[in-house]
Amino acid sequence: MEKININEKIFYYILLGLFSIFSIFPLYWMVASSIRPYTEVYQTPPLLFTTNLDFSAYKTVLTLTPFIKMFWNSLYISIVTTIICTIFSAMAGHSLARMKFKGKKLITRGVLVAYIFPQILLVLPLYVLLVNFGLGNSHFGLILTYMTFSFPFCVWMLTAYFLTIPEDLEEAAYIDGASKFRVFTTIILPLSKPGLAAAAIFTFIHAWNEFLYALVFLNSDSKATLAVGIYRLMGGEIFDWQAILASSTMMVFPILIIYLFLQKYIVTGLTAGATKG
Amino acid sequence: MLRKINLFVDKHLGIIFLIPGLSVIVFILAYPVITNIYLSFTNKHLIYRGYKFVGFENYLMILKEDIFTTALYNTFFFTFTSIVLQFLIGLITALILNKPLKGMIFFRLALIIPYAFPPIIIALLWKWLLSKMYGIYNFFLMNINLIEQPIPWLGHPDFSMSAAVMVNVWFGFPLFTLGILAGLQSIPSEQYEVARIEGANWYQTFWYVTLPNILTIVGIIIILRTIWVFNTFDLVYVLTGGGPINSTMTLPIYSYLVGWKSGLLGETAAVAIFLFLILIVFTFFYFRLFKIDEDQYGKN
Repeated sequence: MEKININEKIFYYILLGLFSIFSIFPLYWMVASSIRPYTEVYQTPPLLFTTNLDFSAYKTVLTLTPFIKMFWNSLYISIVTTIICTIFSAMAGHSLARMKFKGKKLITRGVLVAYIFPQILLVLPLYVLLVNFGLGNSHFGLILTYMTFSFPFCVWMLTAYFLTIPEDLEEAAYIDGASKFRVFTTIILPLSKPGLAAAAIFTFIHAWNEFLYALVFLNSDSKATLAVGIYRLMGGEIFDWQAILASSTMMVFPILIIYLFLQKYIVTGLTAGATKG
Repeated sequence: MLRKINLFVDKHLGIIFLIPGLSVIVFILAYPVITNIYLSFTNKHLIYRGYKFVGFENYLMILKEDIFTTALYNTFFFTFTSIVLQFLIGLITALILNKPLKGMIFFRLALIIPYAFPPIIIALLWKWLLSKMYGIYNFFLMNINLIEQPIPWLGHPDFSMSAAVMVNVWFGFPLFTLGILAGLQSIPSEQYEVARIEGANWYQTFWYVTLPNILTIVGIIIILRTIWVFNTFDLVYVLTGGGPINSTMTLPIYSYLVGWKSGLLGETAAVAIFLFLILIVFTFFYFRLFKIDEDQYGKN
């Protein structure tokens, strides 16, 4: 074990402390500004700490804006996208990691190229496409378009993850006469839970956060997602920083909880390809 | 009969498993891309009907426009400075987090918080933090006498790009921290032992033991982040809208404005394709540099 002397220790703690303040302060200030009396928000010089809590901004957002409706819209879209994308990409990833067939390399490369397509390149033609198929302004259409980003990424990640699973186990099952489908569902999938969790988390977070497609494809307020709803709140007639910060806080918290509790899966997903050795 | 179907499915499972995902991708990716390439050679308009084939006119037109050159330069500047700073902060924090010190779990949690923020919220929140009138950061800077009066960080062309880069660095460095830390933790301790016995100093240990071991993960994260940052739309669009005076105009924003505000579908398609070509060159170059392609898929 390496020895660290006291001066070095102090130096490290000071550096980490500074970076931690850099990273945490905006979160603190967002929450702190949203739970104080309205007059304190615009006070100069600003009060770093408040003693009188006031949640009226939350009441405003929850009662006067369609926040709850948009929250459910976002949740529904994110969950459905996550389920579809995780299943489809697990199947495709398994195929690319294990099966032998012609054109596999081409498909693998194609998936990687699909991943780098700029959203901005797809947005206009996708809009026309969705409208032509009667999927304009529909949640299903939006869910489909989220696959443009999530599917290639999850396939890439899961293929790398499946490759880390030793093939011996499957060989044994094949000798016992198991079908490929059975091997996939009873051996590969249970062994890949961390990889699948990583894929699901990435897809969920991307769908929850996505802004451009939701802005362009859904044009009625009752169907809007949180990202777009909060943006429109800013352009609305009553421009109120506290309401924006309160709704932002409520939108961030689900994701923050996922990150704090499930961060090990996020690392797993990213490093599957890299640390395979 | 059933047995026959089962056998068929078993034999072709590789292809069958690819069908659902790939058909969705072909439907929502291949069609738009081909449409886009076609549109980029026409003068189609969002509202007016009827259009004709104009050859390379759109491409020549955008190359001649000053805003395009500005946007191109801004996109490169934004991406390059963001990635370099994110990498440096990620490397420093990961190296310290990897030390056997107390309280590292707390610091690790603190450091990944920015990455949990949706881009739209980041933009709104930082507008509030950097606001000239009420912004707390101006207040801090004035308190420690770094500045004499509040600076309109997002409202002045001299500061807006630096501010946008700063916001993006804040958001993106945790991915480097997490990734590099995972790489560091996978280095066998024997390698450090050997370096110590050989009498390697701090710098040599870092260069010959640490760096080669984290190179692949760093490469992958740099590729992913470069693609994401290069394509960033929402963050900058909501933060500054590309202004003031085009000082934060990037290619994605330019493409969006040409398409949705001016309705020039041919031209916006040409900008998007330009963006995509740059990314292809980038990615190809990176994959060669870090030999990732071969490592991951070459052995299949």
